[in-house]
Amino acid sequence: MSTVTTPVPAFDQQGTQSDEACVDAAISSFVREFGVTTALHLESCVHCGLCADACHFYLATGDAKYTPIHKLEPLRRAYQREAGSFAPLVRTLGLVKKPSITDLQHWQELLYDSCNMCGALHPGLSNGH
Amino acid sequence: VTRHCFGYAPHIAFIHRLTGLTWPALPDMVMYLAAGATIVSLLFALLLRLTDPVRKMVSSADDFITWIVIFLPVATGMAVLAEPSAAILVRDHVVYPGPLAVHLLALELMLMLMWLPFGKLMHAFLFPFSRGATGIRLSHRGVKI
Repeated sequence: MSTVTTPVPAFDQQGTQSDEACVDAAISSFVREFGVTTALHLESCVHCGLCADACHFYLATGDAKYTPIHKLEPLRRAYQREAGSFAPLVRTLGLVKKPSITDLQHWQELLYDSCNMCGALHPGLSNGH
Repeated sequence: VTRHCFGYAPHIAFIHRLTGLTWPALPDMVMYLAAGATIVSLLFALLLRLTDPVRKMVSSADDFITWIVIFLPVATGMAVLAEPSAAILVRDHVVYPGPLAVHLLALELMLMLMWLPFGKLMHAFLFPFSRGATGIRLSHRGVKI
């Protein structure tokens, strides 16, 4: 039996900006974080999925959404589209989907309403690093 | 005394014809077993990626293309195997007639020379540096070992 309860997400929607403008603002804030370290970590992840086994939320619930690297998915997409080696090509061909407002709301729960210890402990996951 | 060193005899013959370099090959059976083990391992890796909820979720097209780039040469190599090395080596065309050899080589060069250095396969060579960097970074975060 699961011992974890999922809180009702309370989305932070302040101001009068359109969803599109909010997404663009989020992406440009991701892009400001990108540096050599972020690039190295995002590029070197081989998607082995072993980080899930180090996440106590995943171990307790068996829910794959708690996989630490999955929490960086919107950031990864922003990186591939805006800052990766092939960013112009990726954007032009639409190889990587731009995060949507629904995506960001979904990840809000994962990032702020559940555990984020992987971000504090794993050099590759902290704050998008 | 037959000496064994490294690699598959027809591959070595191919390299010898192009560059003049040569060395003793491993017995055919060792190569067949190694290729068989590689194919089975790759199939299991793919199965795990497709069935495990975590791996399925975190996998991208990159991971599957990488799998194909590795699997294709091994599988096609096994598929064209019909004779023992000794029988292949006595023929005029050591491995394949010209166009097919060029085709296979071009495909492999394109895939391996592009995908290996610039894709995640480089992890196989770079992981010690990655581990080292992680170690340094963690100790910089105040964790002294």
